Amino acid sequence: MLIDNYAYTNKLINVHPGEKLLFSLTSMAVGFVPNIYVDLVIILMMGVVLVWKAGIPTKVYLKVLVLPLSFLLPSIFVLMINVVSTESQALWGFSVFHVRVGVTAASIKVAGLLFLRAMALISCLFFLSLTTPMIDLIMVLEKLKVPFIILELMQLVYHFLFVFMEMTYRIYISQSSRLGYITPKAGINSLGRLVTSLFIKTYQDSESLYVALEARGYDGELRVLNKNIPVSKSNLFCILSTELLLLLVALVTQGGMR
Amino acid sequence: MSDYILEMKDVVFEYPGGIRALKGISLAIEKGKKSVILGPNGAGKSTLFLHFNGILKPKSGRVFYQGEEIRYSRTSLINLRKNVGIVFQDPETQLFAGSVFQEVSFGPMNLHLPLPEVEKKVEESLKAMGIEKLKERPIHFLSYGQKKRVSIADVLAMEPDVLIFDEPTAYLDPKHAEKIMDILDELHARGKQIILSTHDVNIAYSWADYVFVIKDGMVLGNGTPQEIFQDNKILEEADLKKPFLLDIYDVLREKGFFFDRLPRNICDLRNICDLRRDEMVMNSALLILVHGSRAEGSQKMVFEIAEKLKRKGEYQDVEVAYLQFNHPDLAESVERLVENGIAEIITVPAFLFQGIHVIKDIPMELKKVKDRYPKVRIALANPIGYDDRICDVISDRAKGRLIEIC
Ligand SMILES: Nc1ncnc2c1ncn2[C@@H]1O[C@H](COP(=O)(O)OP(=O)(O)O)[C@@H](O)[C@H]1O
Ligand SMILES: [Mg+2]
Repeated sequence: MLIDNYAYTNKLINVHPGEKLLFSLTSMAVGFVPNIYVDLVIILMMGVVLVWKAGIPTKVYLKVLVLPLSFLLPSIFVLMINVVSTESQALWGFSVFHVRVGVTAASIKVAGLLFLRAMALISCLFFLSLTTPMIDLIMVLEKLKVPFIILELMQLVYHFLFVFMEMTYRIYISQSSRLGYITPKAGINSLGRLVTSLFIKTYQDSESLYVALEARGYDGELRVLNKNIPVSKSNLFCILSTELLLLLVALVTQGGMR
Repeated sequence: MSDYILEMKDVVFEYPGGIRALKGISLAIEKGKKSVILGPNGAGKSTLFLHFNGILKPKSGRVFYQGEEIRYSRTSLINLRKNVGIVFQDPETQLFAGSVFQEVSFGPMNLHLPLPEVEKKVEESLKAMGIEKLKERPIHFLSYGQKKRVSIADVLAMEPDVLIFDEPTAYLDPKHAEKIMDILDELHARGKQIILSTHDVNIAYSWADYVFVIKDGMVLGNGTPQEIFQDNKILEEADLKKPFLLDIYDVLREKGFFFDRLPRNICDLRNICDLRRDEMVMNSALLILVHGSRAEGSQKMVFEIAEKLKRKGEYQDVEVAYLQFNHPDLAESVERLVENGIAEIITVPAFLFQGIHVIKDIPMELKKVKDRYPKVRIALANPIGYDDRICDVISDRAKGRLIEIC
């Protein structure tokens, strides 16, 4: 939940969330252009903006970036290895049951392109989640006329995520302080109890919440007032010109490789 | 218009499953009085409060707001909930929104006010709770005490006339609890009707104007804190302890301090204690009450003792009186002291002769004198037998006087 903390404390908190969403989404769209330079520029750009503009510590950002590598790298690795027809094609290879398997220049290229594109898109997403609190995002979605019920659900899910995490943590601590997880068997037993009491507690809590909401005049809609952040024209101009520049890079370098 | 802001008549309530939480409760909360519902856990306090703004509907019995019976129609409920706000015990389950600002805006939004007005009310109530700075903070970043404040701001923003607090100091450390109580006082000073529930006798004693003691869904008693907390029967029935302050008060009285009323809080206690001390030095006299015949030798001895005590200067005057047979007798001596402008007379019965029994009549006699001089404070110290250090013993006893004759 490190990411969520920075969403509230970063220096771009007072920029209109719509602008941040636009920046993230348009960069992602540009990222789909099959061009390795564009992807590289996007990754770099997001890093620079996050560290310099949003004030996210470099270490933290790198740590966050490492997270997706754990599932990205294995799949990239699999992509690199192909069945090759002739010995000469492979840069490196081995045989399994008379089938020659190896790594070719082409497969490296494909894997690299994919890896960079994935990282570019991911860094766009990270930009959004590290600078924009969920609350603000929901507010933008509301402006974009997303159905109310979905927004309400998002809001409650978001809130209760933290409530349950806290609750789980507390029950877990209480169990383990009584040696509830000392052996695997005891662990399974305790886990079962944890889930059960979580269910019961959840039910009770939602009851109390409902009563509390009713006491404040709840009539079926969770209406709240959102803060009013003005849209900055210069920011919009910046975003659009950046994206245009990126497209220009794509045009000039013509597909990248070779 | 009724003098009662909220009133219940014979309210019975059952939770699903037949748990009878309220067993015929009648109570009336007077306008402007800081009212406390006091009772142990499970007494039915929370259940009772949920009746006050129409969340729960009694199985039988009636609930009144401003003298009008609560109707459970949609529009009247909305109106009721606008006027009667409840701050629940656990802020963790009361808050739902992402940010503090959104959270507090929920109530006013439900009143369908224009948006600028909603904003104004939110700002105002955040300010009243001293949490303007937390405005943009997400709820899950807050400490328990901060959440408690937000939950109060939640209700304040709807500007209700009546604010009901269910165990407002539960789980708070003493310092934060005190701050919350200060806030309640401030709200009261601003003209809000405040009702709170608690199981804490100390809070109830020092804060309330009026206390309702409930247990097992029934009202055991009601009255001013002074009345309730001196009624040992009610306290025992309700499993409640005596407030700490009253324990101190009892000890101080034993040690010889006077109070013409019960202290409300520590400050109050200090004030009324000090006052007495000053008066005591200025305006007290000691009366040595001797029992027995006025044999030549003993008479001389007694008056010598009185002379010595006088010289010690702890009392403005020292007199000797004989309870029986002889002059000067008690009434006579008291009369003389009163004429000299003494406002407090401490009587130490001194049995200087062996073979004399403790006399039960002394308090009676003193009472008669007290009836004649109602303005004079008359106190009786423990009797003393013969002792070589007679002077010191008498003045010790006088300081540690026990019974106030009233
Ligand atoms: N939601 C509920 N369902 C069933 N029983 C309840 C519920 N809430 C409270 N009770 C029961 O009603 C009684 C009074 O509870 P409550 O009003 O919460 O007491 P207090 O607030 O004084 O501690 C208790 O015996 C409790 O077990
Ligand atoms: Mg309760």
